[in-house]
Amino acid sequence: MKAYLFKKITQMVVVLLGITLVVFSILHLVGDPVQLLLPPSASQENVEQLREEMGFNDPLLVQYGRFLSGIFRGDFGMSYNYNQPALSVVLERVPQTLKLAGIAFLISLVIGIPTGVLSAIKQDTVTDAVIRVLSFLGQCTPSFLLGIMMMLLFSVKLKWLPTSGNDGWKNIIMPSLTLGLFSTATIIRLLRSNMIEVMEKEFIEVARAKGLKYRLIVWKHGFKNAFSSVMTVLGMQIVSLMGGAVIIETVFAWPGIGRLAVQSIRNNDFMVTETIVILMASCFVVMNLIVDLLYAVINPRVKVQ
Amino acid sequence: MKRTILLCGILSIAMLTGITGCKAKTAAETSSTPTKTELVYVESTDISTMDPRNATGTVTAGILANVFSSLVKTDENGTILPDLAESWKNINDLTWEFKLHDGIKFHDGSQLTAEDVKYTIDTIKDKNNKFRLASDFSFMDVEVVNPLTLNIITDGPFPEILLRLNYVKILPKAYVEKVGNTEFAAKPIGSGPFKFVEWRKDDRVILEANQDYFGKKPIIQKATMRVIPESAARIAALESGEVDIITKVETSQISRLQGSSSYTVTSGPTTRVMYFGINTLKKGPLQDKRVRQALNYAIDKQALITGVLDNFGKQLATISTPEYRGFDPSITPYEYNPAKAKELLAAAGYPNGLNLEISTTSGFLNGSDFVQAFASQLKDVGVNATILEEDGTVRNEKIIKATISDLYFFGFGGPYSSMDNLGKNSFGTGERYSTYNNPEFDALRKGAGAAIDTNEANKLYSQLQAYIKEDAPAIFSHQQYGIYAINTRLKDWKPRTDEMIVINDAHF
Repeated sequence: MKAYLFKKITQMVVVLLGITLVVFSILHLVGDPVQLLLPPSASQENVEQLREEMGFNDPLLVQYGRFLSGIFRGDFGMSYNYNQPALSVVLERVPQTLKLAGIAFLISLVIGIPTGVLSAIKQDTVTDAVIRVLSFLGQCTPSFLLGIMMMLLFSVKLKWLPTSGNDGWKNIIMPSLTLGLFSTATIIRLLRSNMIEVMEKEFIEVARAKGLKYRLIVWKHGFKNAFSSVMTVLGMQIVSLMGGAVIIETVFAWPGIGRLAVQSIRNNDFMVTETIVILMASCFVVMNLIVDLLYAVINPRVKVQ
Repeated sequence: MKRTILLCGILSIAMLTGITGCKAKTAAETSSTPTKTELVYVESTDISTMDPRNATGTVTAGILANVFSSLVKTDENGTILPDLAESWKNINDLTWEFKLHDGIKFHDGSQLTAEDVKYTIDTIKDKNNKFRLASDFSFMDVEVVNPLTLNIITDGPFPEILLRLNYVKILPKAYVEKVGNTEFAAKPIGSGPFKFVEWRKDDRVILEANQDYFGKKPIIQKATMRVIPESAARIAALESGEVDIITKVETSQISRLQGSSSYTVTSGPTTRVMYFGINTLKKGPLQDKRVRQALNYAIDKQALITGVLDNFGKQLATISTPEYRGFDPSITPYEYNPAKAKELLAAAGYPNGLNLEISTTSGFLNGSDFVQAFASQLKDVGVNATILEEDGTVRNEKIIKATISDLYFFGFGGPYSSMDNLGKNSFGTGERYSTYNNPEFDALRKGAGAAIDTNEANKLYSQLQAYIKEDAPAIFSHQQYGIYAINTRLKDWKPRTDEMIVINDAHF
């Protein structure tokens, strides 16, 4: 187990380093923020001065080294746009995105699990067909479209919910529903197929033969087994929900890191963009590690491979 | 049983729709009562800072104009009006004397004096502070004569100084010195009609009325600026009654919005000049004046404005809108004359036409359609144009490096824009956003820009406009309009040429 853990962590560090290198190169090759930060009337002299101050005259490798050593000290540089440390700009928004993604995740569990199980035990019935069509639609409807449609219905037509912004609990309902829908559909489809597979296993037959109650068979024997493999996917779902928030946060004007990422790219705010990408990537990689370890715990054969 | 359930279902749906119908009505009724004192308006981007010395962008300028005061201000048409200064005069070509109103107070109750003005301008210019606007104000010095009188001394004649001072928001020296720049930006204090309450980044800025404002006191008691980047979401927010003013309405949405009695679409000219810049720094046909003129003759600008912009734009001849000092209406845009265009192209050695690339980016009003229609008109005179859609920041860099396409759709305007400013930044030799080098033009512009006497300035600016029309370093297109949708219950709010949202006079 120790060797396995060591291998995985080494892999993780290499991946993270690779990500910082890629992000850094792409951003710095695309453009020079100095030109765009200054008003049009600024002279070439002003440009040179600012470039020197920001360290953009150094070779890229030196800049990368500085960036990397900064990261280890928790210093991600200054945001050009907000004129404050990039990390604090990003961290300010993290709670908003976590809140949004967290509620979306809960929604997807609450709707996804019972519906997935229902779809499986009612296999090939009308109920199953309806659920399958809906979950298919849920996976392929662009969240942008869904968000706007919800806004038109619940805000413009019915006037139940505020359209956008972050000014109270009502504001989070539509964005979290929109965001949660995709992963709800994923959970339903995955759980359904796993559940169908499990329900055909011998031990279910045995349980049936023993005369156990159907509900008990479904939840205690069927679901429990089907869910363990869904669980590993759920871990990744949490992170991808945070990534998916980019679009939802823009549509619903939710002030989280997704919105910040879009804006920072538009403003050429390198440091903030880099910080967001690196934080998100780290979340992904760490989540992956956790999932791998969990898998190894659940299924010891994995370690051998 | 099933039938009863069905019936109940239908009934409840009927009731729900009925109830919401009633709700909408009551909302409309209450809105017509004059008790509403809270205004909510929407911008598509957030402000960048609350420190006026570091502020760039129109949205930021708008919020600052509500919270701070400056020596002079402008009305919605751009006419200069007194603000903190009750009068001003030229002592000589380089010295401007301003007399301040007596008894003006900052939001913390302290008195505003000439020292505060000096402090503000000195600190903007101070290189150690690294404020982004430093280079825009480096040419002026302030001399305090007495607590209510000050002189501004420029390093050369600068008649457009009032326009520029309009954007110098005066800071309370004592407070900033006490708390420091960072704390000041977090809890700014000005002397404007509204006090700053809170800035929730990327979400909203909240202001409240300043009861001790020295000018006309606002009727609105609380104002919130919300940030909604998505245009469909902005319209939904207006339609749901949450907000009263939205900006950047797409023309495709206008007829739908105007169909309702609850809101209306209002628009107005801005000081933004839209043009197709010509990269004359690139070797090739565009260095020939006849080719540039031919392109100007080839375009039916009015048809583009009517057909693509739904008339939300006004044709322009050169680098000036009617709001700029020295605008000469007798200089008319190039007429639409494709035959003449072909003739000129043939004379320049391109009887069979030529191939060009046009760069455009999102963000301009109906920009993509506009450029498409423009390109198809060029085709009629034998110019085959390929359109390149690019990211805005990437494109700006290309303009700066002069590696941009042959033609590029571009707009210039915003704070303190004037013919001098626009001419310098967009067409001045060696300027960052210019792809045109012409010392003759520079000399004309500098002369006009330095003329203090109005008659003299008008004469020189006329010459400048005639010159740039003739030399055609761009295909000048139109004056951009700002399009807003507002709730009809809102009164006395007007769009401004500088695109800022100022709410002093607005009420319900």
